[in-house]
Amino acid sequence: MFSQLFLDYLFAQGFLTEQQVRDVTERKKIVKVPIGVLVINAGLMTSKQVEAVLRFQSTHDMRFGEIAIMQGYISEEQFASVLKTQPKEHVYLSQVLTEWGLMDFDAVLEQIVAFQAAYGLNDEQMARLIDNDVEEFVVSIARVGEEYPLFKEFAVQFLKVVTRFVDRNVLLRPAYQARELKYKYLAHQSLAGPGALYCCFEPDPDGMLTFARLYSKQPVMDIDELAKDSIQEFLNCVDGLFVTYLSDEGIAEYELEPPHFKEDGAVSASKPFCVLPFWLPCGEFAIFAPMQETTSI
Amino acid sequence: MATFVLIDDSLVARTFLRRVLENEGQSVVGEAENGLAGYDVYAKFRPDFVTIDMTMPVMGGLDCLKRIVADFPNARPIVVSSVGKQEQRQEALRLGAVQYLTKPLDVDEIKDVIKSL
Repeated sequence: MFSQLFLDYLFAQGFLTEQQVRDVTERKKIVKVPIGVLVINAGLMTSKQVEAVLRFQSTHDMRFGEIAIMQGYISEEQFASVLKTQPKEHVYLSQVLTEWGLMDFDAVLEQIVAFQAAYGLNDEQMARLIDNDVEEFVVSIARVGEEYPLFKEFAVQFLKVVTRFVDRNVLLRPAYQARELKYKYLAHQSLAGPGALYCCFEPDPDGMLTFARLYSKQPVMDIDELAKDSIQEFLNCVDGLFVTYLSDEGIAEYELEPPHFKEDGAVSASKPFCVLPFWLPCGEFAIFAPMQETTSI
Repeated sequence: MATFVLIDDSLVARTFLRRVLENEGQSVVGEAENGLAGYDVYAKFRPDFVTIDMTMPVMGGLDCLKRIVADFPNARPIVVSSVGKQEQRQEALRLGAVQYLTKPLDVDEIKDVIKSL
């Protein structure tokens, strides 16, 4: 998630074109990260020191680590710890940007600092984003307000399932309030309990098939019963996790009713509800959870 | 090889379960998309195991489980639900379920359950 957000930031700042963002997104899934990039990202060596080691390596039959330790840039223990640690996702992104000559290491690091300042994030928040902490994204990036505590938990559960079963490259858009929302397709499920809710998932009309295929692992080719059922079942699984979480945490007890799928309609509510739009490589999607008492679907 | 009936309103969930079970050499002899129809399919085939989803239209999983266990005391139901609440889990096991699985289903978990049955 952080990589996608940072790519979007680089696009907004004019460092990358839309096509480059798409290409980098694909490439970072398969790119291998050289040890030089890992030690820079771990803050143990500078890009100048890495360049010096690589220059030395080009004329000597020695490994990167041996040279870096010999030159005194890094200790044996530090080097061993870098080898043991799985690189964070954004490190792969840095590698693609530099490998393709779109930005150099220092420029990437500078922009990570600029990104943190632009979003007004403290170091702890930034560390959680880099660790792909979904709740931090929902609160700090989408800015789902404290006035919608249940929706915030629903959004967190929903996005966790998206990143686990559909696609990790999620980009959250800013959340907003609405009273009306027209849809082409909508999956919704009633949660019966105190202040009963409709949990709603509005799939992208063009991206719905890809989403359904990725989740169900079945050959969904048309907007047919299988496609609709995949979307409904996805929502059902999210809502099951959501009500279990609410029960386990002692927040509230809800019971699920069977999910439904609707086409060409509108959600209308007398009280505003929070909408969280998000982007996936296959399209634009949205979730929301208005109170049943004040809502018609 | 054991025989199974699958009761779930989700076509995707039934198809997934059928595929995993058949890949493991088991036989799925019938399916139904709600508890009421599921009871009839169970009564017709009397399989070794029946998987029952909890959240279904017409008749929910808990009522279906109660009816099957009441009329077929040797039934071996496996509950498959997106809800993992402890209270619901305990209730299903108390009513006679031999296993309680939570969705999204995991292939390895289903394989482990098959081995343990």
